[in-house]
Amino acid sequence: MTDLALLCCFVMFVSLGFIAPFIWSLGYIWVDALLPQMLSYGLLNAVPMALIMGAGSVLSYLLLDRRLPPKITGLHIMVGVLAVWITLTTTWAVSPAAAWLKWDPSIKTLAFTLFLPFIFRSRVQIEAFVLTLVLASAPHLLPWGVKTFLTGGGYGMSLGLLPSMVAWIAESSAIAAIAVMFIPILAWVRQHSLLLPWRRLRTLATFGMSMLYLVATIGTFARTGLISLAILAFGMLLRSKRKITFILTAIVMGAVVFTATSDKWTARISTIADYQTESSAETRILVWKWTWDFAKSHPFGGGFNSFFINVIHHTMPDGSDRPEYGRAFHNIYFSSLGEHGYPGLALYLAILATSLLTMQKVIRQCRGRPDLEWAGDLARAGQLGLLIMMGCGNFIDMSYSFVLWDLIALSMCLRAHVYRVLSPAAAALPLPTRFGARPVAIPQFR
Amino acid sequence: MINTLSLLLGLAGAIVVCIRALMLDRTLPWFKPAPMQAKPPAGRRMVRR
Repeated sequence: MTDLALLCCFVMFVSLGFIAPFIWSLGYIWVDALLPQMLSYGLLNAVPMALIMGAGSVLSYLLLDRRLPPKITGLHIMVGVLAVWITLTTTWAVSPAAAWLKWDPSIKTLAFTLFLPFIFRSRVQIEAFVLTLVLASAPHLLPWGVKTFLTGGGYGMSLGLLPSMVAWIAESSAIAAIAVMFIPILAWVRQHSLLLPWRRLRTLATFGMSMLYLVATIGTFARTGLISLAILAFGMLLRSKRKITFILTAIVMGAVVFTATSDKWTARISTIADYQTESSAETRILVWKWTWDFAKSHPFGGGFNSFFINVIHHTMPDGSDRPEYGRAFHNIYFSSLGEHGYPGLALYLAILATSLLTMQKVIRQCRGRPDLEWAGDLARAGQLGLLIMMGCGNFIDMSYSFVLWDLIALSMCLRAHVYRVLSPAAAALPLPTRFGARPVAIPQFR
Repeated sequence: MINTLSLLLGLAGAIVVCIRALMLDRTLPWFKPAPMQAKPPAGRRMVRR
């Protein structure tokens, strides 16, 4: 049954891809987020779905649809330079086999980030990109919310579609980060969606999903969840027009969460302050210290998975020394520093900062333009989502995760779209080839 | 059961999004925007979402 449903969806993406080239790219995002080859019991295991979708995207773009490419910006160049740099650092990696293993998905992620702004150009295409990301991730997130309602959740539990050891997206800290990251985007879908036209159903679905994502975050018992919720609350407070009401509601909701959750949850979350005695937090700090020293001796990085060679020394209560080998970075910034050195970290930070500034620029440009209100609000949601991922990135290594880079790609798509609409040349183009947005003039868009 | 329902919901949503995107995307060569009305029909207020 599951296999058949996945196969139907895969066939739909492939067949519709021949009609409209951007569907191939939607298919790639769908495969990247949902991981259907891991969910299948046999039928799709052997099918290289990502390869098919990726090749289809590139070929169909080159052969069929090269209209109005985006203006190349500093962000495109920096992502391109990072792709070259991570390839170079992999050539001198301290653990070559492990490094090339991680280089493969990372370089594909960067390549597709560069490619997506060429594909998603119109409002409908950009919304389809966002919705595909939301809907392909939903099957991993929704079970966490529902099962937390039923069982209360728990630390280290695997309540999603896949076991946490199998995929990054199934790990509890990642769930806590991604679930909260999607909440502002769901709010945007509720307000602006053209592709989901049934307003009441859309409101119900997005509100229900947001609530389940909040519950899922609490159900993971991950401290990362508290960080992501704090950033979300702070971001929403800054943009709220009724700040006092928002603060009061947040206090009431916080009180409800603390009383409704078990003592185990409170005990787990309160360890966030005991970082010196709590084993997991202490290990992370020791790994970060090791990475700092490692970068001094390897300023150009040790390649992907360079943490494989680390040895972390714990001092036990009796004064003895307990070594631990190959502990992961658990931090996107230290991961960039250890793997790609100072230049890699500088590039990575520059890309994140530029992406945030790009979305800020989109927000500014869309002010006072009712036809671009959707783009401004999407940039706001994407900016908050990216800030949540950057905050949670202090505790999980997701430096080259699809979610983070899809948000960066989204900032590029929005920037290019707004540039096209606002440029005088775009206004002169006839409608069918124009990528602008005039929803007022076109009845179907209302 | 919960996992299967979540998966089916996600898949159905993805299918709806693709089909709707094909129906609405003005950049596709076959898309023909409906002729614009000179003025709104009498008695109906133009409301933009």
